[in-house]
Amino acid sequence: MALIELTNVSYLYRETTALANLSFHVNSGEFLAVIGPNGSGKSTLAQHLNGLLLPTEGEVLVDGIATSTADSDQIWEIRRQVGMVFQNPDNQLVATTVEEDVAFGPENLGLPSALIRERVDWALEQVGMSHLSRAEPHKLSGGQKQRVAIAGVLAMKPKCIVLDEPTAMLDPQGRLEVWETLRGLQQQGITIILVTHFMEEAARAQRILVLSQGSLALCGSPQEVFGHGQKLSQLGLELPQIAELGHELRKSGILVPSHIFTTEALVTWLCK
Amino acid sequence: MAMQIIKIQDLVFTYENTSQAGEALRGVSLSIKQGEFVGLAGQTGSGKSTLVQLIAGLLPAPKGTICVAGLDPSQKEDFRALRRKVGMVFQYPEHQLFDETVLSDVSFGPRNLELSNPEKRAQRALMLVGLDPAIGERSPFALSGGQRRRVAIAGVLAMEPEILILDEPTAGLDPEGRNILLSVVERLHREGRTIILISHRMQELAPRVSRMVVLNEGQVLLDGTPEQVFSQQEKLGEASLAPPPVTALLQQLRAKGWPVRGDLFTVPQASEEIISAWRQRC
Repeated sequence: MALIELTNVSYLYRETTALANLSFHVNSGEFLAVIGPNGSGKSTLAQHLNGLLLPTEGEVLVDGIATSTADSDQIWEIRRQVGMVFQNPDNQLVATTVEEDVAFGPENLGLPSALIRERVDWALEQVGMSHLSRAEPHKLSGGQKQRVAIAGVLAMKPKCIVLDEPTAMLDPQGRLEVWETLRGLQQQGITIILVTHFMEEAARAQRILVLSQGSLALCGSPQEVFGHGQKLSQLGLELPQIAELGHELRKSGILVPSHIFTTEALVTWLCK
Repeated sequence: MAMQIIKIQDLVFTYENTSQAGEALRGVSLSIKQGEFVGLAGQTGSGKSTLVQLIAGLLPAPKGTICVAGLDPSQKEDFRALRRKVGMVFQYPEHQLFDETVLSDVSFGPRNLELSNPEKRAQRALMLVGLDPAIGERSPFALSGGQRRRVAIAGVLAMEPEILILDEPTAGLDPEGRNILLSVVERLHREGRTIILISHRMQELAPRVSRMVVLNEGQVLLDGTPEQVFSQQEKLGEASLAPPPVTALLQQLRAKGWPVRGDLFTVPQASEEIISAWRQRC
């Protein structure tokens, strides 16, 4: 079932077309990666998915409600259902302790305090941060900060989380922490939409959407998308190193299947 | 033999502010020769940033000795001279752009240091990072993200430093932006500058640098050519690092008896190596 549906969405910003006639849907419970070069419209698209931006033309349906005609109650409901996490962890945490920060959203919903407590504890547990609930956010590592930001969104009990390059400013350890958190959430049925520059991250999603100049350039499983190596490099994107190696080997007659893009899979295939 | 431009002996540094305790240095000794291209790696908290900030004279005096281009970075009277010798490009340097035009932003450093012809130096720096000097008239805020970052680096280069330190200069750029930036850094090295490049992406460092230094918990864990360092898989693991994917692949094939080298870092090298081993097997 489609949770989010875009039909012919265009968005003009100061007379430039940031999104051009974009149509696709996001299924409930899926893990979707969005990639594209800088300036391809990825962030603009992300902000359309919960009504932070409204399309100039076309429509975005979230759980059946069009963002552009939603009244203010409906918009708040859409934003509760589709939470956003941004790139810079330092700009997203506002309170003096981790748990206060996570409680910020549910408090704004006007929930009773016992229920807020329950939600905060639950959300921190989901991201593996319960032991640091009293810590000061500015003392956390980048990966921990992003997990707190994710907990803040989770405390709203969303159906979907949109993350706009959440790992761009993290080290490999932090990236792994965020990635494992997202995997756990998806297993609980939460829809994940991950905007990223890292092909290795996109490779692990169920479906990849490639944007170029505000339009849909490619869309499909990682296997399908990485099969278009040449098109990706024309767009200024690069394949994961192992997929690129597979491509080189194929040119010399070693017919590595195009769906192989991890070290382990290629070793296994070469040694079979 | 090339001169040692950076000499560090038994460096110990502790932050008074305990929240950065993880970044302390616990006895680092390291010498870097003029013209070396050093890749510096290690987890967050390993001490990388502390080390480079000490080299650039941005932290109070540590224990141990540190000498950079004949100057002592911890001495106030050497600081101005040091500013000209060491250029430091922080993470996301474009966030520090402030002026109305690119040219006035890039010439700020030389103006501030009262160097002659600040605008000429700025134009030269813009060319060094591969930007058309005509861009000087434009507002930095009207440029793309990758261009803004190169403008910020030009601002450091305009002071014509002998040593250039870059902390994660490709973070947040798309592949094309990353490639352009790395080729700029390679060129700056070829022209004789000493480069220290911090990166989390081993595939970025391995094929380019002449030397890899890996820090872990405030100490030097590995120091050698990329070939030497990336063959030490266990030690790399201690620092939560792994060789580039194609290198890891070659090493695994080698462990299974394939006649391939385990110290190659790029896709063309790896594919050539695998093809010749494959043909031998058939």
